[in-house]
Amino acid sequence: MGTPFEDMAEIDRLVHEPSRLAITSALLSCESADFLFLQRITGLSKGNLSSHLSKLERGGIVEILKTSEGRPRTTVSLTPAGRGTVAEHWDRLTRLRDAAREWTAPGE
Amino acid sequence: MAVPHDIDRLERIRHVTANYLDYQGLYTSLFGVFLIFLVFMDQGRLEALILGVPVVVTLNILIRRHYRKRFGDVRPLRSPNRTLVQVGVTVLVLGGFLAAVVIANAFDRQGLWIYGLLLMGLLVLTAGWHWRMRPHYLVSAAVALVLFVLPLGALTPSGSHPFEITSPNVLLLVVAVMFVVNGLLDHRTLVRTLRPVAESETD
Repeated sequence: MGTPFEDMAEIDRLVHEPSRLAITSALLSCESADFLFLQRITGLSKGNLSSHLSKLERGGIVEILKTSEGRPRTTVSLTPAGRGTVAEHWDRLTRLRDAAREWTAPGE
Repeated sequence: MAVPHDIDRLERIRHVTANYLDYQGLYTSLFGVFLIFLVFMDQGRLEALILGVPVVVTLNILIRRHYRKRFGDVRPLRSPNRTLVQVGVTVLVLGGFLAAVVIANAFDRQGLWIYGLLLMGLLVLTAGWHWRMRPHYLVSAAVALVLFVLPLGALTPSGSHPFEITSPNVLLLVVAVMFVVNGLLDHRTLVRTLRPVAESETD
């Protein structure tokens, strides 16, 4: 845990991009989610979601499982390392928000 | 840089994902419908059950299909803490109910208020820490309190409180209606949170 400025400098760019942060935040709260759910909760189009998931997969943050039994389904989950990275990122964001609140409303 | 309102949105995303099953309110409403069938069965009509069970099973399958096709699937986190909290809350509610019964018997204060207390406790607990997302449960708890406390017996020809009428079981009917209404409101929250995406949209 560092100062707010150190926290900002250490922010993980791969995870912090707004759309990817929404995806990984959802995945942090569950074991896995399918493509449709991620699309609905993030509001991203199919193409955008696929593109962001590919980047996250290449970065080792998520793993994507495609099954073709019955209806084809794509299930996404965080890798163990990805879960650690996203959890740490959330801790950092929470600290930054608290620090920002201290600065804007000191003494409250 | 994520700004506070972004973080609020992200927290909403996390909350809805973590509690996705709870927000699938059509299941709660269906349970309410099942209770309504039980109310009619209570009057000695077995037809209600014969008709009710297939209807509830069919609706359950349709609801499951609806949620999977429209909103997708989520496998919830299996955390030991979460299970512990769920078991703890259940034990607490049952313990509280038993304690209320024992106290009422000891002081000769038996009555409907015990059921009212149980119902209120359950509704408040369902709202939980994230009550801002589910205020309807708190409203229901307040409505339940008013219904149990008000001397509604003055409005009935027999002079007894409507919840004491057992044929039909008015109390069960009110609980069933609460399940139906709250379930529909949970479903509405889910629909508003998980909006359909137009394919032409870009982020």
